[in-house]
Amino acid sequence: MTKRLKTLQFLIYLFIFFGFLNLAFLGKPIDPMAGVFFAVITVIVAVTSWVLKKYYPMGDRLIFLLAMLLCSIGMIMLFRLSRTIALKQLVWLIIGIVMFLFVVLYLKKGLVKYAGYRYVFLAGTIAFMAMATFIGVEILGAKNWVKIGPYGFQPSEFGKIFLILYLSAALSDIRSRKQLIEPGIVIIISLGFMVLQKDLGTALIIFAVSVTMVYLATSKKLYVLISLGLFGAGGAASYAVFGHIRKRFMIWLNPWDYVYNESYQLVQSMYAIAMGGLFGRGLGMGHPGYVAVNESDFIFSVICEEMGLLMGLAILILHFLLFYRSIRSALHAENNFTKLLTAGLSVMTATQALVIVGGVTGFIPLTGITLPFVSYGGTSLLISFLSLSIIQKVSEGDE
Amino acid sequence: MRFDLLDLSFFGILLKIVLIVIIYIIIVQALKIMSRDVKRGSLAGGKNLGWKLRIVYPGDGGNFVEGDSVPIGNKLTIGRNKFNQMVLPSPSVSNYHAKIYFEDGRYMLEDLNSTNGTFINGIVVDKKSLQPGDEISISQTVLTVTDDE
Repeated sequence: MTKRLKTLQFLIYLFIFFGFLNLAFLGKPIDPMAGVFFAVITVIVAVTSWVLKKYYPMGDRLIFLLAMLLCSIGMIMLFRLSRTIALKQLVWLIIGIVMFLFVVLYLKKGLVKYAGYRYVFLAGTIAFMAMATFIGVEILGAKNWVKIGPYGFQPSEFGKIFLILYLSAALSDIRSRKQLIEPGIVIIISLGFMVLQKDLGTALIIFAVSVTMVYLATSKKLYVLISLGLFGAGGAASYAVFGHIRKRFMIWLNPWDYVYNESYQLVQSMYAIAMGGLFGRGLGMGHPGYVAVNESDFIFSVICEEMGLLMGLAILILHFLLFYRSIRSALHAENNFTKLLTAGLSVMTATQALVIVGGVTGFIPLTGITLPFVSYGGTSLLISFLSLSIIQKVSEGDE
Repeated sequence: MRFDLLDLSFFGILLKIVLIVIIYIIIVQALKIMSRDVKRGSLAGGKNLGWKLRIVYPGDGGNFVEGDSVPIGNKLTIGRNKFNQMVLPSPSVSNYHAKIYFEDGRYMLEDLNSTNGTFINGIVVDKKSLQPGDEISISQTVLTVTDDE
C-alpha cells in the first residue's frame, strides 16, 4: 500500500515535470519560470504528503494526491494561458494548502462538537447567500460577486459550505417529519437567492447537495421524488419568469442557430474540444484565445484542445475517484454529523465538476461555475481545499 | 522522414503523448490501490477480512507471548472467563471484557461494560470500527490490528 502510494507520488512528480518541461520550451529563450513552478508544486506535494504520513498514517493519503494531480493539470494549463494568472493561482494554492494542513493538524478533537453551532451555520448560510443580492456586482451575467476594495469574492461559495454544515447539523438527528420543515425553508431561501443572482450553476449544486443529504439522513425515496417535483415546477416557473433562463435553454437546444450572438461562447468551446482530438494539439499549439473565460469556466475545453480529449476524460476519472474515495471516508465516519458533512462536501465537488463539464460540452445547459481544483479562482480553490481538509480529517477516523 | 530531437514540434508531440500516458498510469495505479476496497466488498457476504491481532505486550498472562498473531475471524471475544476465545487471566480484566466482530464489511470493537475499560489508541471506547494499525489496550495487554496476509 505505502509502496504503491510512493510510486503514485513519484508519477505525479514526473507528470508535473514533463508538463512544465514542455511549457519551458515553448518560448525562446527557455522560460526559467516553468522550473520555479515545477519546484514549488513538487515541494507542496512532498511536504504535505510527508506531514500527512508522519502525523496521520491512518488517514487516506490518496485523496490529497488525487486533488493535487487535478491542481497540477490546472496549473500547467494556466501557466500556458498566462503567467500572471498562474502566479496568482500558485499563491492561492499555497494559501489553500496551508489552510488544509491547519485544519487537518489543529482540529484535534472530533468534528462532531461543531454540530452544536447549528444556528451559527444557519445565520452564515443566509448571510452569504443573500450578500451578493444586495451589495453584489454583475460579472458575466451573474450578480454573484462582492467587491471589497480591490479584492472580489463569491459569497455563494462560502454560502454552500455553510449550508452543508447547517444541513449536517440539522439533519443529523432527524426523527419526525416536522423537523424537516426548517431545513426545507433554508434550502428554498438559498435557492431563491441564487435564482435572483442569476447564479444557476450554484442553484443546481445546492439542489443536488440538499436532495442527497436529505435522502441520506432520512432514507426515504418520497422526499427525493417530492424535491424533484418541486424542482421541475420551480424550473418551469423560472423559465417562464426569467429571460436569462430561457436564453440558456435556447442556446443549449440549438447552439448552431446563434453562433455569432448568444451561443458564441459555447460554440467556440465545442470547436476547441473538436480541434484537439484525442491527443490534443500539444501545449502552446492551440488557440485558447478564441474561448471565452478560458482560465476558469471554460478551462475544460482549453485543456481538451491542447492536451487532448483523453486528458479531459482523465480529469473526469480523477474527479470520480476523488468522489469515491471521499464517500468511502464518509462510510467510516463515526456519527451522523460527520457522515452527512463529508457526503455533502463530496457531492458538492462532484456535482460542480459534472455541471461545468456538461455545460461546456453542450450536454446540459451551460451555467458558469468553476471546475473544482482545476479552474483559476481564489475562492473556489480555497473552498475546494477546505472541503478536502474536512474529508481528510474524517478519513483518519474522527476521534 | 528525419526526426530532429531539437525540433520543437516533434518535442511537443512527444511530450503531449508522454503526459497522457503518465496520467493514465497514475489512474491505473490509483485503481490498484483502491482495488483492495472492492476485494473487501466481495468478501463482505458472510466472510471477513482476515485481519489479525498482534500481541505487542502480553501483560496479563495467558498463553500469549510478544509477537503472536491471533486471527479475529468473524467474532473474537476477550475476557478473563475461560469461555472467551482470547483469555487474559488477570484480575483487572473483566469476565467478558470486549468483543470484536465483523459487520457491514468492517471490524467493530465493542466494550462489554468492562470495569477498567478498553482503549483504542489511548482513548477509551464503547464501540468503534477498527482500522489496521489501531492499538487496543486491555488492562496491561497491548494489541495491534494488522491486515497483512
